[in-house]
This record gives sequence, C-alpha cells and structure tokens, in this order.
Amino acid sequence: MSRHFGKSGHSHRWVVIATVVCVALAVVAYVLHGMFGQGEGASSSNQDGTTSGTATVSTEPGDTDGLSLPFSIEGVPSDATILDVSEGTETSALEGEWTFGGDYTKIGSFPIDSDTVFGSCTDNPDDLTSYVAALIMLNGATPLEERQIGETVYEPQDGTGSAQGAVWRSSVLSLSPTTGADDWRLQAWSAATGTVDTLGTARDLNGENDTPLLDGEIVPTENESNAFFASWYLNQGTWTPTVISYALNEGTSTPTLIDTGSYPAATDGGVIYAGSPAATESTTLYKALHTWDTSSSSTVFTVVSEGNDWGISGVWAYGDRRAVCLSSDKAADGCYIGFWDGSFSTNITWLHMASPSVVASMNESWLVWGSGSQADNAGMYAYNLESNAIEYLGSAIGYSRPVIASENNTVLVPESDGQGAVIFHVGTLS
Amino acid sequence: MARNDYVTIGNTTYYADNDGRLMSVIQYHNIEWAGQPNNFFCGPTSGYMILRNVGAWTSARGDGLSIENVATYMETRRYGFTSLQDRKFQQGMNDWLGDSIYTTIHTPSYAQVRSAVLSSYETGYATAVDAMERRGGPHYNGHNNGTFAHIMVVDGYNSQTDAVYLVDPGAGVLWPSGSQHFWYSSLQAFTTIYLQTEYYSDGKEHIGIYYAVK
Repeated sequence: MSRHFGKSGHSHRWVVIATVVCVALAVVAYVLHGMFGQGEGASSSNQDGTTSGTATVSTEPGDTDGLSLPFSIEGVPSDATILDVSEGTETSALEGEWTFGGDYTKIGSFPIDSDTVFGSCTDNPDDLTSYVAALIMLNGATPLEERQIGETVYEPQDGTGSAQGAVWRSSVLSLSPTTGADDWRLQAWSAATGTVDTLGTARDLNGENDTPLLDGEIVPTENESNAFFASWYLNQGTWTPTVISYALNEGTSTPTLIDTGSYPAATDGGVIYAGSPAATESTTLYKALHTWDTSSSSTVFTVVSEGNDWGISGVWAYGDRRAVCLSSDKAADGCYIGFWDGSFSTNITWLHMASPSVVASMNESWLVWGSGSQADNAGMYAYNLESNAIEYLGSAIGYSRPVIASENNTVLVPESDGQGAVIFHVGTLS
Repeated sequence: MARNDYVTIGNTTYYADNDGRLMSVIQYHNIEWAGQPNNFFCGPTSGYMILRNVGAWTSARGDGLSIENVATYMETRRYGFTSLQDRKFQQGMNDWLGDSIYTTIHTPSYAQVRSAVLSSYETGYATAVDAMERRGGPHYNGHNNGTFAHIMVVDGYNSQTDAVYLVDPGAGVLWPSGSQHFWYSSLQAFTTIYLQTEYYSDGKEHIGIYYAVK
C-alpha cells in the first residue's frame, strides 16, 4: 500500500502492526504485556498471523517453543524476544508533516530536525551535473557548496549528521553502463564554520577510478573527531572490503585503514563494524562484529550457523544503543536485527522481517527501516526501542528507504509509486 | 487440462479459455544467469548469457564463448563501457554470430519494446535492455540509489499481464539483495521509466534495447 495523504497532508492515526510470534501461551503473553509495556494502539498476532488484540506478546528469554534464531551469537547475550514484523495496513501519521520533491529539484538524504533535511538540490534537474549538497527546508533549499565544473562531477548522495554538521558520500556520475563502480568522495560540513571539506576520495585511496561498489549502500558516520566509511581497498592487486576513518576538521587527509570489514557505525570512542567477510553464492556476509577504539580492534561477537550461511549485513549505533542485522544467502529467510546496549551486556530484542536486508537508520529511541528497491516488501517501519511499538510508515515502490534524524525523532519518509520522482515527507514520530 | 487454467508446455505457458482454446501467455527463453565479473561488464555478460542460451559456443571467427571474449567483440574494455552510442553491443553480437542478427533502438516506444520481446521467441535470440536509473527516482531489484545505466536480458514475458521477467547480471555481484531473475510488473512501465528518458545532456545516446531482427 502506498503512503496516502489527505488534502491537509496528514494521514491516519498511528497504527501499529507489529506481528509478534513465539506465543507459547496466551497467559504468558498477557503477563509479559504487563512486564514489557506496549505502545498505544499496538496490535500483534501469533504465528498463525491472527490478531491478538493490543498486547505486545513475547516469549520469555530462551523460549524455544516459537520462533528461534537460525544462527548462534557467540560472545554476547542473544536470548531476547523475537518480534516478527508483518506487512502494515494503515499508515501512521507524522506530527508537523511537510513535503518536498516530486520534480527532481530537491532530493532528500536524511533529516536534521523537523524543519531541515540534508540532501541535494538543483535549479535545473535536466542537468545531472548541477546538483549540490544542500539544506532543504519548507520554503526552499540552501546550497552548502559551489556547483562543480569540469569533466569529473560527483553526485551528492547519502550520509549522516546533525545540526552541528554532517558527513556524506558522493559518486562520480557515469555516462554509460558502468553499473557497479563507486568512484566516491567523502565530504564534511561544519555548521560552526559553514565550511565543507573534502575528506578523501576513492581515487586517492586506490589510485584508480574504478573502485567497485561495496555491498549494502554504505553511508559514512561520524563521532566528535572522526568520520568512518567502508570501501573496497586495492592492495597489491587485491580488492578487500576495508573500514577506514578520516580525521574531521583537518581537510583532506590520509585515511586510517582500520581493518578488513564493512558497515562502520561510529560510537563515542571509536567505531563498531562487521568483519571476517565470507563470500556466499549470492553475496558477501560478515561473520563477526568488531570494535575499534582508535588504537586497536577486538571482536565483540561471532556469528555461527549450520551451513555457515548467516552473517552480518548492517550495523548501527547511537548513544547506548547498538543494532546489528543478520542475513542469509537465501532471500526467503528474511533477516534479523538484534538490539543491545552499548556494552553488549544486554540483548534488548530481536526483529525478524521478510526482506533479506534493510536500509536503516537509528537514534536513541527508534530504528527506522525499509527494503530499498527490492522487488518485494516495499513497506517502511519504525521500531521504538523503549516501548516495542512498531509503526508502519507506508510503502514506497522502488524507494523504500525512510531515515530518522540522529538527535530527534524527525523522519524522512519517501513516497513513490514506482513511476517517477520521489516525494519526501518530513514529520516527527511520537 | 481444466478450462480457465494454465498449462506449461516447453518454454511457453498457455491459458485455456472458456472454450478450451489455448492462448500462449507466458513465454521464456530460460536464460541461465551469469554474474558480471567486474563493474562495467553488464553488457558482455548479458550478451554471453544470450549466446550461451542459443548454443553459440564458438564465434564466427573461431573464438570460444566466454564473457571476456564477448567483451572483446563489444570493445568494452577499450571504451570502459558498452557503448550504445556506437552500437557496440549490436556490433559484438553480430560479429560473434557472423550475421546481422541484432539491431539497436534508442529510447524505444513501448510498442517497439513489446514487439521486440515477442519476436524474440520466434528468432530464439533474447532481447537486452540498456536501462537508466536516477537518484531520487525509483529503482528495482535491490539496486542502489544512484544514477547509472545497466544492461539486462529479457527472459520471460506475460502477454496477458504485461509482466516482464528479467535476468540481472549484477544481482548478488553488485547488489546483494537483488535476484538473478526477477519479475517487473509492467513492461510498459519499465519502458517508460527506464528506457525512454535520457538524463544526461551530453548529446549522446545511452539507453535503449538490443534485439534480433531475424
């Protein structure tokens, strides 16, 4: 179902569509409802998919009667409840909603606050080379950089940030079928100085312009001192997925090559990332989660599965929250996202969804996700880490990629019927 | 076989109407997927899949079938891509086959694409699409949110629903969540969105279809 909008631009009341499995006993469910609490208006269902009212039904930790993880996590607890997310039916409303886009003049990347979105803009959408990074607001857009000139032009793409600053990636526009090349550039904007620095480029890293595209639509993240990214790194003729970091506020610099891996998520003291890559028939999955504290790396946990067919396909961090997505090489298995505290001493919960991977973002209270441009499962969702509520944000065919702000609960929700330019909705989750 | 039901015979799925008459509705080439070995070989890999499907194991000049050899015929390494502007996919396929089998249509109409796909089941040579996706617009089959062109093979077509079955040489290789074969719900919509609008304003041709004329 596509996202629907009335004349006022507001949609329906929040309706939660969390389908929760692993129901051993209704009594247990009722009791746990009281224990765990529930977002208002939430509904849930059992393994048969039947609605069971407004309770958040969950298993006791370690319960194996219902849904269980098809892999083991070794090194940290992994015994939390598993919530199975079903397709939504009624789109949740956003507070203070406004829209932009629909004509390729402004393309949203991520929200900063309820009034501002980071993205790109142009006065002439017929000229692909004219886009610049920008702050997009209800009444227009403010470019953050000058228009590029010359033969090599980077298309501003995705990133992360806040009102204080942002880091984002761009990629050289290609005029021809060079599909998987990712000739990237990393830039950083400082609100304090109003300046944009180029941190580094794929050409600087690899000395070539044909750095391949790394799985999973990696976006740069940052903490107070460093930006983190992942790229294929060419070393003595061999391409290796590598986590790298650039010092902020130093202009263009030589990156630190942290480790073999991908999906870096900045933390207050460093970065967590997926390591130990293993190529399967259909993709590359990572068998361990690592942490780097600016001087050395260590393993947080490893993923073990029968057939060795599960691995990490996404990592997110904010404050004292951590989230890791695990996928298999079989799309029909869907994926699981595990949540932990910052020290990985407590496994908060697991989500299971039908899509084999997700495009997601996280702040202190919410994880927001979609399936990108996968053929199925175009739904978009928001999971509240405190209440276990799951909100349905509608669906966007070919563009299922909602994003949440880092420092507030503003979300950027795309509207797409799969036909043309995406319309972006900005509003606040509550 | 019951009326108002489907039956598959060989590469074709038929539908039996109320009177029991069979109508072919879904046809396939049964293309076996191959993954592109690098980020710019979607054209040669698509050509390789088509040639392998028709058993063109050796070129007219005596070269053995491989993605790399097809790329050589399409001059993909020399260009750094497979040039639609210079008709290099068409040239490579025809040089391989030793006959003027393939031709190119730049920004085709839906009628042209549908006709090309349907006629491919008579010639035996599958049609390829050279499609462009744009950042800020819809994408398909797990492709990333960037701006780029990509060549794929049309394997199946449902003439009743207009759904098209594509083979993506970048699935899994470039896009981990992509399917090697996938259905797109409407050939007309695919044509409109991805094959008819040139986003680059450099005066050159970048997107279209490659199909067999005999």
